[in-house]
Amino acid sequence: MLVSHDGARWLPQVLTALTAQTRAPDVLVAVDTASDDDSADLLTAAVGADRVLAADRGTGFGAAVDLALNDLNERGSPLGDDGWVWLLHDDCAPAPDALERLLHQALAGQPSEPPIGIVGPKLREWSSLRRLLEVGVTISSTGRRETGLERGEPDQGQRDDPCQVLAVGTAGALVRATTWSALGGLDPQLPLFGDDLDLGWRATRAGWQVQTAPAAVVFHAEAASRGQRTPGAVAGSVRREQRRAALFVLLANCPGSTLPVQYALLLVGSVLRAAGLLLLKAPREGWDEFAAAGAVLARPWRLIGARRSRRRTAVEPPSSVRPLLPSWVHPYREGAAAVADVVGGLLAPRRVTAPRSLAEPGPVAEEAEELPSEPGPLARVVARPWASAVLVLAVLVLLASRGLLGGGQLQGGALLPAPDGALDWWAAYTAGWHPVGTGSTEPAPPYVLLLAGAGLVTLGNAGAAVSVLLLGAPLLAALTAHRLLRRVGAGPIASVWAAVAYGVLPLATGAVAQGRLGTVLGVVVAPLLATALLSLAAADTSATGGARLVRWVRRSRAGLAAAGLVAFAPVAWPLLVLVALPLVLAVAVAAARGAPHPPLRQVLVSAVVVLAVPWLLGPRWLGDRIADPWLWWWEAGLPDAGVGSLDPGAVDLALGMAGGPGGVPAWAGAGVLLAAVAALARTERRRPVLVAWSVASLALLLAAAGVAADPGAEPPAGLTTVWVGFPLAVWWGALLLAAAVGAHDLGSMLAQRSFGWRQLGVAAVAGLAVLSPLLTLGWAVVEGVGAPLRRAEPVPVPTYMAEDARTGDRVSTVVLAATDGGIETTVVRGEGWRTGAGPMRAAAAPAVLLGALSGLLAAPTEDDVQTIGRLGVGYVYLPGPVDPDLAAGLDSAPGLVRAGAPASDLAWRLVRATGTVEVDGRAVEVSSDRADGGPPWTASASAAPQRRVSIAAATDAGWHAMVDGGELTPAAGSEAVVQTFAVAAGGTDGSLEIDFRDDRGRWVAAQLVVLLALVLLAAPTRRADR
Amino acid sequence: MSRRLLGLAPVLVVVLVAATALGLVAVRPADTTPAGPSASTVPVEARTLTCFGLRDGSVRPTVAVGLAGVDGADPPAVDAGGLGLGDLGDRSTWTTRRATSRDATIAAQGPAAGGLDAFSAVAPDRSAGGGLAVQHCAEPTRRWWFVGAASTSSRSGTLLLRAPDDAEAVVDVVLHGSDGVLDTVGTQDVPVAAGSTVSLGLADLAAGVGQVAVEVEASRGTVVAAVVDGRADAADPTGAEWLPAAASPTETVLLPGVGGPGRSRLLIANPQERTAVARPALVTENGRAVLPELASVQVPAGGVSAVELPADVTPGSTVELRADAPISAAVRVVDASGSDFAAAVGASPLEGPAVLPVDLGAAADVDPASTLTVSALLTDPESQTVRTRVVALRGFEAGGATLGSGTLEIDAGTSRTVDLVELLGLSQSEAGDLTHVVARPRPGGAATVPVVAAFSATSRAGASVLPLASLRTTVTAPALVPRVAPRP
Repeated sequence: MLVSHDGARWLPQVLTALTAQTRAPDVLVAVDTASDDDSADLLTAAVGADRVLAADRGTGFGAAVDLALNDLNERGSPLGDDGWVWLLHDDCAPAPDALERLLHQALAGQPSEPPIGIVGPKLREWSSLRRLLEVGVTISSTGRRETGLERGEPDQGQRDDPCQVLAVGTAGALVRATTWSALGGLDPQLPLFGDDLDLGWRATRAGWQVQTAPAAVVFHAEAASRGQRTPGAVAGSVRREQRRAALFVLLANCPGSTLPVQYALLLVGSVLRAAGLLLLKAPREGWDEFAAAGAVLARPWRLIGARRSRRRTAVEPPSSVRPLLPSWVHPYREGAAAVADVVGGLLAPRRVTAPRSLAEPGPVAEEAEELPSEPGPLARVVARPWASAVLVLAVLVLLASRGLLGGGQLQGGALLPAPDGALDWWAAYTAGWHPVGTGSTEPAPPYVLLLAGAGLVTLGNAGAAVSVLLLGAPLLAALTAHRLLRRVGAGPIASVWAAVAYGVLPLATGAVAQGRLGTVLGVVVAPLLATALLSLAAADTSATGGARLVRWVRRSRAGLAAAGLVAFAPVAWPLLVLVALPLVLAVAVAAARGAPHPPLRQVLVSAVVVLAVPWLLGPRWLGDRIADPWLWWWEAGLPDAGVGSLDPGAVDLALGMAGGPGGVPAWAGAGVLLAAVAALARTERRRPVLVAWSVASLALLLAAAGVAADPGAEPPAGLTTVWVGFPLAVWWGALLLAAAVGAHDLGSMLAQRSFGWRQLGVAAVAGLAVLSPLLTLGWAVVEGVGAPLRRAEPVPVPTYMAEDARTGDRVSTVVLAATDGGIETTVVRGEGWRTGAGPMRAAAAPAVLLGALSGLLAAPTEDDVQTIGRLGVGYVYLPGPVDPDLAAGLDSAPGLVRAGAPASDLAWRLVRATGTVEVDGRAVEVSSDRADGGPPWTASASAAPQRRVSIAAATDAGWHAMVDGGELTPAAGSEAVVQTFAVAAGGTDGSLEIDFRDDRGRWVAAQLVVLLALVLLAAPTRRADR
Repeated sequence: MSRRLLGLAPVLVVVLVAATALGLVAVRPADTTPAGPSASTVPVEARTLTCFGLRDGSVRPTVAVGLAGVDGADPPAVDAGGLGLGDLGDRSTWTTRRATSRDATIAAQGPAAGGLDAFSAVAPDRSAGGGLAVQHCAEPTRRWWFVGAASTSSRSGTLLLRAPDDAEAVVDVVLHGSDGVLDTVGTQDVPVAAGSTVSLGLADLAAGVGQVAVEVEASRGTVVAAVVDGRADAADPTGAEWLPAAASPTETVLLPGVGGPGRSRLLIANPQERTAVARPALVTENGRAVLPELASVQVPAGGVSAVELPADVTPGSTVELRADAPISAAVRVVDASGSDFAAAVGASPLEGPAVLPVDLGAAADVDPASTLTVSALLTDPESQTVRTRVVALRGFEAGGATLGSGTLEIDAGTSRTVDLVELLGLSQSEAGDLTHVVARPRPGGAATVPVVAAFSATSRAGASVLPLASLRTTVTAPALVPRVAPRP
């Protein structure tokens, strides 16, 4: 039975092959499905007009075969019980002995148990003639068609043993006539794809064997699958029909007991696949996936009918098919292998991808099980220096962090404890008003969004996310740096050295010990940005559509990397400006001189994109930094690690040290500096070395400016000393890059020269340079990463105070701590500040509160206590060791009474009932649905006419108060630190509702949409299926 | 060659940029750490003073309330309800009234509240012991020292503790005897309810100790403390006297107002846990002289040592003590008649205006010609340079008008005693109107030389020595450093 549909391109060869058969078919019937080309004429000429049947263009393969069989019956030459039907496509050419060998395989095994119902040939590629396409097929639990073959696997006789399989392709398949008729042929719901799998599955369940006959070879063009023609039986896209067919086959044939699970898995899997395809910028394929799932899963009645018809023919239990299906974990193992490939690419970017485990469509041959095994994992690791280095680095970093593992939350230095869950980060990022300190309407800093994303990876465990990011930073930084180093052409050994030296930078500078999350993550992200910029610089500058798309993809990647970097270490933005300006200038000068140069417009656009994308994350946040340049130095976390004056000297800066505790002795890095200076002497590598040195010098200049400048009398809250760790990390990283690039092929160059001082000098510098990361690691392991970073319980105030901030009056607590520099004053609300829990700048204690507290401590009066209470403060807390004079002052303050506190601490409560919300000067209990106790609040309160409702929060147009549904108007002349509303004449005695409404939610939604678009644009482009 | 040099130019540029950056750091000022907020001085706007009455209640004291040191400021609202005066308002800068209750509280609110000062005086008749007892009404604070008390059968002190009206306090009381810290019961965590007075008889705590120093420290809140030392036996004619609060222990102590007819006994208390060695010297107008018979006094750890001063000590002298550990001290003077005694104690340096109460009521009848002893500490005995402090004095009548003024120059290492009437240049009638004198050390010059002073109030009833205490008209408001999160 030869079915043709626009197959004139292949038919001549197919018909020739048929006439050359050593065992010619008894009867040849052709069906043409209204081909637009010469197919019908070719068939008529070859087999005669009476043997060519015409069918509609939309006729499926199974229907066409049925048409031909019916025609045979009508002609009075029906197939007998021992008859066989040979199914042929118009794009498959059988080898001369194909039919003979198929029949031989079908009959040689007789009688067998179960009897053979279908025999399939070995399908080879039409074009290459050598590559294997199929020798039997099966289907995975996710609907993937499994052939058990490598892509492009050549036929070397390795698959020549006949075996039972789930199914064989219909191209060249030989089907027993009784099998065909008993099963009703191919399912009309599968007009073109999946019909073979379905037929095989049903045949097996009906008590027949499906066998391969590898000795029979058929060359198949797979014209429909490869898009070389449009199948008339399929209305939509081929891919969608293929996927629909696969889902249908699975759900129509799987055992009833597994149907619900299978259904659910396919539903979720289809959604994920569609999302993944969208991410890979294949929206059409994503839609196909989605539409295919909808076509099957949303029409259960069709599945019910199909399953009912299969039950009628089934005689064998479902378990009879199980050995012919791949393990249900197989597709997931494949997915894991793909992830392993990506990780492997990071570890050894040039490594050849390891062959995946394959799902055999049939039982595994015994010989295959006796094949020699691969080398052991240890041997493989030793053979790969980078993988070994990563392993050793991981173990040493773990050892160095031994004191920071266990219970509690990482905190100390500039690091605040992590919130209870990653959802808190999402809530903080989207909230308009933050219940932190005295309350803040400042938008959350952009790194909160990134931490929230990291929290998804750790399944919502914020503490784990922070721990992994902070303590695992050396490993992550080494990985990203290694990728960059290989990209710029550094040698394998030099790359390993430089990557490890860069990775240990957060340990060496004390950034980890000081809890400098911003610098640590900046160190991790910076090489990603550098890699993206290099990739952008190497992009095709032509004006073709493809080149333009590639440039925009790479710009998006660079922009996103810049956004991530700036979010963690905002000072990266001025550094990028410092780098971009001379770059653009140099290109402009080259253009003016007529020297070779990249198109100025493209460079300008790229620079603007890289500098602009970070503004998408936090326009106000970055705008504040433009207005107050000192804020550039405020990284993710606290502005001040509380480690005193850092004040690094010129030598410290040159050796990459920003000051503070936890760092290695600066001299340990001397070797790296020497190696980077020596790299300048390599004339043949000068260009990349100079580029690295240029970036390094600019970063050093920025760091020096930060150290040398004077913040003046009024630095931003808490920023008492400038930490220049990030620009110094860039300085050091660029020096490492220069040294690694300069060291490329150094050995062979020196080997060509006679032995002399050069060799000795290079050996000395190389020895010192290699020693640098080793010294750092040794020091870190011996000393251990520690103070001020520690792991402890996070709540800074007694539990009842934290609870009072979340419930009832929602009062906050003032925490006072006497230090050499004065009395440190913090307003704590709830369980206190958490990493990224909210914006901090605006929520530090306001001046009016500081004034009242100062008065309270010096010469306490009732007015001071009143002021403090009006600002929503309910407690004053002195953590131990307590300054007795401070305590005595508070003891004698009118309106304060002692409250419960741990043994070494002291606490006072305001006698006057205070609260965040007051009506006519009396605190009212409010309730909130938010976990952090923030607005909207509701309360039952009464207010006299012409009186006021006040909220202990800075005045803002976002505050709204309603009494019994009626909106109150903000009172004129209220203090800036207290939002006051006037109660209309007549008073009230009903429900009070207070809310903070602004456009933060809309802004975040728009921001996420733009970011998602950028992420989609930046995602790798999916390679088209073969 | 030139091509090679041209190739080196970019190298030189990047190295130059890096060197410039390092140079920028190398030449910067030594410490560029931004200065945090600094402490500020603010006027005292609320003051509460407590005056105790004698415990037997037989004689109500006369309380003198005055305002001083706040020239030009609006007078505060003074609430002297405890005196039965109601609100004094700004009626007068000096008022004397007989107290209607045993313990009186005077409170002032307002910008000039720091100028409030008060004294109480009582001159019991002979049957009640006689003598003149003058007390400086005090503000609550955490620490108090009293040296020169006793708990014998003939003479015994009583410690009075009072908490402010709105805050309770808890105090620890430590008694120091001649051999060291005395074992006492019930002196730790003594609760003092808000607005109430606790009275502790020293004889009830540690009976039979001739020389007792009392140390009071509030572990919670603040208190006003006083020790009244008096006869325990009617046969003893030495009367009752308030022991002035001594300055907290320091290594150099000046006790002005010593000398005159009668016995003078120097008492030195050592709160340390090791023996202290004190070297007494007598400071007079002529300078500082080491007493040959008292080259050094050993004070046992936690104990009190007593030595008799020579009988020929010039009246108005100052005893200087230099020790190898912080000590506190007093000189107990019994007048020649033996009818009264007074205690001169280690005084705190004058840092602002201090009030000398001349008018303490008719009962006390203090002589306007009472004396003031001022002494300046020789901070550097080796120095040949003479450093002189100047103390200005102004005498006022009850309405606040100035009656006279004068200055007193004291060289470091000397002590001067002056007659107030004489110094102020007052006539006889003006002297009769004199209610109080304000002494104020002048700034500038030798302002770093500590100067102490004591007012020796004399009357027919007896004598009292009051160390001058500076009025706290301003207070240092601590620098508050806003932090976004408490330091872990």
